[in-house]
Amino acid sequence: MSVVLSRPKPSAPAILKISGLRLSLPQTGMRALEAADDVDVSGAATPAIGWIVHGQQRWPVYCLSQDLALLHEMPSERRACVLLDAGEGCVGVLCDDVSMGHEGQRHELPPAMRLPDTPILGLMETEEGIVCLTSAERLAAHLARLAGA
Amino acid sequence: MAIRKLGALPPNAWLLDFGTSLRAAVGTRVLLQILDAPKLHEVPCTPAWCHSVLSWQGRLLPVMDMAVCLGEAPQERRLVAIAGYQDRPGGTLHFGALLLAAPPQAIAVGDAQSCALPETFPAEFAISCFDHEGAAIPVLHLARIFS
Repeated sequence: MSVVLSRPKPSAPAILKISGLRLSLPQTGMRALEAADDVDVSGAATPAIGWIVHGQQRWPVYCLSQDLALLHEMPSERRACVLLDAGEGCVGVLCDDVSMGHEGQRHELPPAMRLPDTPILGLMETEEGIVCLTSAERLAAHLARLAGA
Repeated sequence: MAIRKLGALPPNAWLLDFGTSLRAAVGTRVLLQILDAPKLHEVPCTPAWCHSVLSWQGRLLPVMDMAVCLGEAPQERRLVAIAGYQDRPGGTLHFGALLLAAPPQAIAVGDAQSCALPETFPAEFAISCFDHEGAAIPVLHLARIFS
């Protein structure tokens, strides 16, 4: 199953749930939303967990933990795959589910919590808890660093 | 002029216990609230010594584990102290949270107790240091610790 995200509202972020983590990123950086079942795990190029086909090309798919470290096995709760714009191509990230349109009070990441190259741009407090703000560009760069490590 | 003994002075500092014999102090006006086992929110890709936030009065405060910051094992999360500090005299008031291993102890500190900072304690994290019952107790420079 594939949902192509065409003409998204720039103001409406998507919330990616990864175990206990909720990540918010602008929909403009998302290319498609696929089912995790559509990820081809045969012949995956480690540390990617598999491949997904989109736009007649296949793109690497990564599985992350709630602390945004690479996982080499896919937890059963990962049911969706978000295809992110990674500049010259795409990269897939598995998540438990994706929802749209949550808003809340935005906060800067406190200075003591900032690390170089962190994908976390800020925090948002919602009725459901804390959401970490990121972007497709930052998340793709984080994946590239993890994959190259 | 009457000379008062130190024990007769009102407390002017909080002695903070970070576990594993790590102790430091802040002024009495710095600590605003002590919370017992509040809900902390983990934030990924952050330093090991400051990896969670606390929702407090419309703010998200960084939660600092000074034990990890000083190279020791993480504290068992139990008490959290809310601290208010300025980055310079008259500057904006900022807030942060410190993990504590035990409730803070109010003590009286006088100028005569001034002593050298232990070599093991990072100088940039301390405003000064004083002797308390034979132990050197750094006074925390919170603006630098939370920056």
